[in-house]
Amino acid sequence: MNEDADARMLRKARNRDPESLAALCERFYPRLLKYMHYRVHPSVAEDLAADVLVRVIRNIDSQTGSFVAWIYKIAANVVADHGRAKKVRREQPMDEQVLEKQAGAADVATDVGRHLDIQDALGELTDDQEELVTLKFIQGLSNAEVGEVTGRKPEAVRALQFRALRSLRQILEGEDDE
Amino acid sequence: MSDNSPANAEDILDRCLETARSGGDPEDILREHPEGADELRPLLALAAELGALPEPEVSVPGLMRSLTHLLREEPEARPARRKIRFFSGAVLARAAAIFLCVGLLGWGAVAASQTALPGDLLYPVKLLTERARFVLTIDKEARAELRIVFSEKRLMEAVRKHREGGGLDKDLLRAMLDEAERALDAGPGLPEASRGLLYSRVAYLSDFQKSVLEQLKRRVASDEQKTLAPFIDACDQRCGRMCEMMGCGKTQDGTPQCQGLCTCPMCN
Repeated sequence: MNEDADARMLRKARNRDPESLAALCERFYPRLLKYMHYRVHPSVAEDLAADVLVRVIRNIDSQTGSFVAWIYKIAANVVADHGRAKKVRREQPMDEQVLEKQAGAADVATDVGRHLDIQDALGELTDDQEELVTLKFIQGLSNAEVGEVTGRKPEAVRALQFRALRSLRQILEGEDDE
Repeated sequence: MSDNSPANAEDILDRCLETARSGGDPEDILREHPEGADELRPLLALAAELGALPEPEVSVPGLMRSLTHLLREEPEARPARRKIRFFSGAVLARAAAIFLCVGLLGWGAVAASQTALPGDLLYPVKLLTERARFVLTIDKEARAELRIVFSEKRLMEAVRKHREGGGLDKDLLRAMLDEAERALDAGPGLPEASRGLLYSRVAYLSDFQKSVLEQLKRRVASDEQKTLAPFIDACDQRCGRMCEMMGCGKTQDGTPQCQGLCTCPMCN
């Protein structure tokens, strides 16, 4: 879909056109699910992603500025409301079936193991670092979008991403040593 | 790094990431800053790994389950439904027949579970769950049944919205007609017996919708009566078309050609 069509859909959605709102939710659901999958325990990711959709629908008429930034702000709030779910993640590792399904046949064990390590390590970052890593590297947002979601200036985003990647690496190396 | 301050490393890392994102080679940046390359390379590799983490499997049933759960918990409950009194017994019986057919295929519970109307905050959620249901359904006959349910729901929403003072919603009525037409799209691909059943159901649906709209018409102002007229005609025409597609139809004096053997509402 081109930008004009996107803008048209968003405009109609803001006016509470049900079809446009449903289409918007349909389009963003996979991204929200992925965001939740790497921020909370996968068993609650679907519920929280759906919760974001409901909040979007409730508040769409007051939405201004970047829609992407807005929807991720809502997602971050939903995660915050959910509480520190990530604390239980290490005790209940994620659904390995998904990872196995996605990994190539040749290096399934290696890939899945590495993905599990990364996912666990994400849970050990600070909240700010985890949010930034999810938004920037897993969701692929730009620095400007990350800044808008998190309320940080560009230089603060750059500094945080450096610290976050360095911390993540240290955590993963610590696991490798074990 | 000549000025190996943390701030500089942050900037170099960011330049490398932006270069990689735009399809360039971050090594070009690292070559300009060889003193920091050893520290930054593993971070860049890690960033690439994060970008390649697997996508969770999108589960349409999962989404529906969550949305249904949220809908049930929705605190902004709609006012209790007022009884629609202008339905005749025959109309209700036909409605029940339609829902029974639908229910046998397993879709009745979905129709009964959601009560949002256009203008309600959760109406788009309702449409979203409908879409999800439809995507999930592979069988052609079941998809056609689903269209019939959607058509039925749009009519009920239009009636309820009007009863609650929301006026006549032409979009809903158009959607009602559209869904019924789309149900028929499956017809040519179905076995003869199933095709006949589908045409019969659409005929009953059309007749039921026509009856409801006619009764609604008697209770609305003259300008709204004009609005309703083309929708009533469309239902009537479709009902007749279904009758013909079932190999029937009436003669000029109104006698059914099928001699009463047809199951369509025009002949019975």
